[in-house]
Amino acid sequence: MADDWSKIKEVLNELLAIEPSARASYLDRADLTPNIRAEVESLVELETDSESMFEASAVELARDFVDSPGPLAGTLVGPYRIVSELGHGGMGAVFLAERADGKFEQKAAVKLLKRELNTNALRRHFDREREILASLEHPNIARLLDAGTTSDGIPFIAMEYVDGSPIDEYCARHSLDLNARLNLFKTVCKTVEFAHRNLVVHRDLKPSNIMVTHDGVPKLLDFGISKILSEGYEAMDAATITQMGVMTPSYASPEQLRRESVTTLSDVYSLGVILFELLSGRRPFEAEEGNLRAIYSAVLEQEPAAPSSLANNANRSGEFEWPDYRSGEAVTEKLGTDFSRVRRTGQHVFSLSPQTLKGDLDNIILKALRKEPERRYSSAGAFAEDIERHLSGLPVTARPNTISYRASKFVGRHKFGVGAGLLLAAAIITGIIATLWQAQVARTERSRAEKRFNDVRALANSFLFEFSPLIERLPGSTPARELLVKRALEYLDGLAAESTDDPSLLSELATAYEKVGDVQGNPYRPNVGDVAGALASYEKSRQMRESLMESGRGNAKLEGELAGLYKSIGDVESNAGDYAKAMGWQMRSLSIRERLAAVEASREARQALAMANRTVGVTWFYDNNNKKAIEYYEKSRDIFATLAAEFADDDKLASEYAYSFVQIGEAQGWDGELEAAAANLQKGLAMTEPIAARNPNDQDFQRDLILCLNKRAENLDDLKKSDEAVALYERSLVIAQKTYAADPESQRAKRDVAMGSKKLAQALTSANRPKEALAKLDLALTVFGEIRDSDKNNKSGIYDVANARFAVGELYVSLKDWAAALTAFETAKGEFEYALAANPGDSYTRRMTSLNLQRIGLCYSELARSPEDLKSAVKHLRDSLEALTRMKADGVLGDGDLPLLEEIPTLIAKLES
Amino acid sequence: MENPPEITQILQDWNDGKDDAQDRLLPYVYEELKRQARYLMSRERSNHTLQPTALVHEAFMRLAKQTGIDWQNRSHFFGISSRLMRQILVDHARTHSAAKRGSSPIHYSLDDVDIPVEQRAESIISMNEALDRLEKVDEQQAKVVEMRFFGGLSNAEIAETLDVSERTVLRELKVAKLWLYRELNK
Repeated sequence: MADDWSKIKEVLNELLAIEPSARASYLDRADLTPNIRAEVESLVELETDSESMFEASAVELARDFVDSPGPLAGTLVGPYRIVSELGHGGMGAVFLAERADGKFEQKAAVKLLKRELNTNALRRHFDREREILASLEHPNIARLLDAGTTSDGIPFIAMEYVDGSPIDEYCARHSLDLNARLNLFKTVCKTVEFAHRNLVVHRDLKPSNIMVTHDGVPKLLDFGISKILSEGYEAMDAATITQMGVMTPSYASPEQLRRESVTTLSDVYSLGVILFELLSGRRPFEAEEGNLRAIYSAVLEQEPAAPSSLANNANRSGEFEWPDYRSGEAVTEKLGTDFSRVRRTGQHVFSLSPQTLKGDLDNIILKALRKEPERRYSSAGAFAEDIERHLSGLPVTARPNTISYRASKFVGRHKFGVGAGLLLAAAIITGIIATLWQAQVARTERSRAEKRFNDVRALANSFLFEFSPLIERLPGSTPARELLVKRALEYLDGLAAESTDDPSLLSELATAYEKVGDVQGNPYRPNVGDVAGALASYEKSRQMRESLMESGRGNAKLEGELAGLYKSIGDVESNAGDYAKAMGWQMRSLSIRERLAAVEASREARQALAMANRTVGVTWFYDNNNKKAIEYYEKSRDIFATLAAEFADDDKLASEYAYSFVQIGEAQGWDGELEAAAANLQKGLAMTEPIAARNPNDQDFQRDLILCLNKRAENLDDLKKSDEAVALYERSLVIAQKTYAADPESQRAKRDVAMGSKKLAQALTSANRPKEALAKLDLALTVFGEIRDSDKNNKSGIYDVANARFAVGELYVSLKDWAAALTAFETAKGEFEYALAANPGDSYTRRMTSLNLQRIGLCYSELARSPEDLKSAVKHLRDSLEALTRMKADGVLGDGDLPLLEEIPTLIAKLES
Repeated sequence: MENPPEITQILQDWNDGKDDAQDRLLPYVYEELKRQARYLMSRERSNHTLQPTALVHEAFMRLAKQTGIDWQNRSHFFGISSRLMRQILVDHARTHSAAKRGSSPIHYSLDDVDIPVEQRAESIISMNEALDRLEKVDEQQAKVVEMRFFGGLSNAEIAETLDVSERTVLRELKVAKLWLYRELNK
């Protein structure tokens, strides 16, 4: 048994290290007993399912046993003062709050989130969603007011406070009749439709998120919140997501429970569950006592009963029975916003006679509840329309489900993995679009066709904005992304050809093309590496936007979008190594930002202007023109200086300001001005320290500190103050390791640890502590290697490994162990060539490749074991000299490297004499 | 906690690497940890995430200070802490889940965001039981999981404690996940 296990373990370790596709053949070759093989196979197939295990530690699971209540009344949360607690639930507690500065007479519901919700991801995602959510101005949607972190670093979300009761309670309490319920629900559907058209999917619709005010106005809560909260949790299973409080199994669609893509049609499903409940008093699937697995299997596999069949036995007396609440819930109810309600299954009962529901209403509800998204109503609006038809006595579009369809559709459903599921979803959406398209082209019913056309737009947008981010994060999803791009371009081109005189469509198309361009080749996002394709899509977007500008429809928003687009084009060009072109685009982007900031000196406009200057600086810096880089960095710094002074309590601005000094210092360092660099780097570091100290749990700020420490330490090392450098690097590495320990899945944190070890090693080398340095380099090489091997598309991973190897060589040089050094440099040579092939224009890689050649020459010349060694030395030195000379000709050789152009020929001459 | 004379001797023995010292020490440390946990629970405003390592660290430093022993053996310390955290958390989970079961039954529905506390308590208990079974199959692997799940230790700390490479820890965790996942879903 024990022997078996060690064999099993050995095989598993091998298997887990190789691609799943290669595993079967590995097993065939491994010559295992049938028992062992069966055991190995049954375990290895759980790899994906078990992945998220241990993400939460036992202490986190036990949180409620040991954590005490949240803030007391009077506590400040951002600009809000807590008045009282409204309730609490899985994702945190909710408080009634009012604005502390008295600027507005505004009550808010403030959610304080649990700390384990990743603050960074939350902020990042919120920033991205802010604009979209702010645009959700609708009388039936509770507005999102603010989000951020408290002074203690706890993430919070503030929403418009709604005084009312959940829709189910409201219907019950006022004993609304069927028509009143349907009318109320119709308003809800239309509201959801409005949000969908603004590209926001709710993802967690349920009665407690649909409040009805005392005047009978429904208000939808939490739009977009679920998406923000689930950011960074894509890899988690449904149970964890449920636990996080961002999904509610009883109302979630099958695709949500399967953790597949969530679309507008998922909301349609949830609406179906809600209507089912409002009319029958029961939910389509009810499970005993929170039995998660039972509800999953019911939602995924069972067909829901007709509402009319349940309405019958919901409540024999036909009278409404008040839901049973736990004690203490009265407060919640009184204050309206309900997050902690605990309801008894089957206790919430209201019933209409089965006869009323039979036929149309059964069909309507069941259509919304179809397992296959494409068989539901195509939109919340279509759902509302069918209800309207029913109310007006017209025939409805919903038809009973047919058994043959059901049977054929369900075979083999579970064979699909996540990736396949996404592809399937993509195919489905494309299918719908084709159908709708034909309807549009036929133009049999003009107005109808227009409506359908809008559906296509909504779907196309949902496709791009919902799917793309989902797919981006899946490792190995490049084929899926390529398919996404292909399909997206197909229907975008179709839409573009059809009706380009509509300015709002044109603007949407421009955004969509830009988005496709991002997926194709934006270096700052996961992309499929299609530079030419990206530039082509950006070009289409540009033409549309510029024609909108020319047709006199220009406004600040459009100009801002254009500036953003120019920047993206510049980024792609810069990444492809064409700095001249890149600079042109960045300058165009900058000049727009200048104009916009001149017209309206808002914070956003000035911040964008500062960033645009910074981007120009960075582009010069990449192009190795440090003086130009400094010029623009300084412009950026000055703008951040006034912003930081004006908004003194904004740490984000303060850190941007501080970072300006670091960038300037860095460029000065590269330019050989070490003392000036020291002053700026020290200043940036001194400014960053208190910010990081104030935000101990904010990974972004901690990372800023790591960067500052590293750059200052690098500078100290250049200044030959190695011991001071070591001390700073050690601090930086401790922070990096802490961050990595807190978030072991983070590639960035992992890379910071590797980078930190490597830099520390270099400083230790300078400080003449070679043994410690070698140990750190070993660690760095291992971690860099892991990163490189885990993502073949990550070009910087290749470079990192080569660079670390180079450092090993340098270390042996300092020990005068020329043979060992030579081995390292020779290995690095191949790795640098590989890196250069992956990223041909990159001047850093060119520089390191040249320096590495020079080092090889040096090693041979020091070894000088034979005439061959001397020949090799001369050869490598010549190669190095040639490469450096080419760099000089291209204007990308730093001043610090200029002496090499003298030194190398001298050495060659000496060797040859 | 007062400082009975024998504990100084036990700690000394433990530091000297005597075999049975750890077992003799456990009850004392356990008491101290429970005291700390209670202290955390009773704090009016605890905005802190309870860090198991920090908790144990604090407890140990107190003990060490009381006994005047100079603690150098950090890895010992991590090893024992995870085992203790496991006992404490499982203990908590049991009380919690038993207390709820004993009182009048409350039917939680699945919506209203809250996954019942019992369910989380249950998952701690079932992990504990599964880990007992894993221990019979693979002692080191069970130890790694204990340190990660109950002790909240980083991979580097686990590696240091067990005197293996971080790579080994990662590999053990990967395989343990598979085994435990199957065990827990049986």
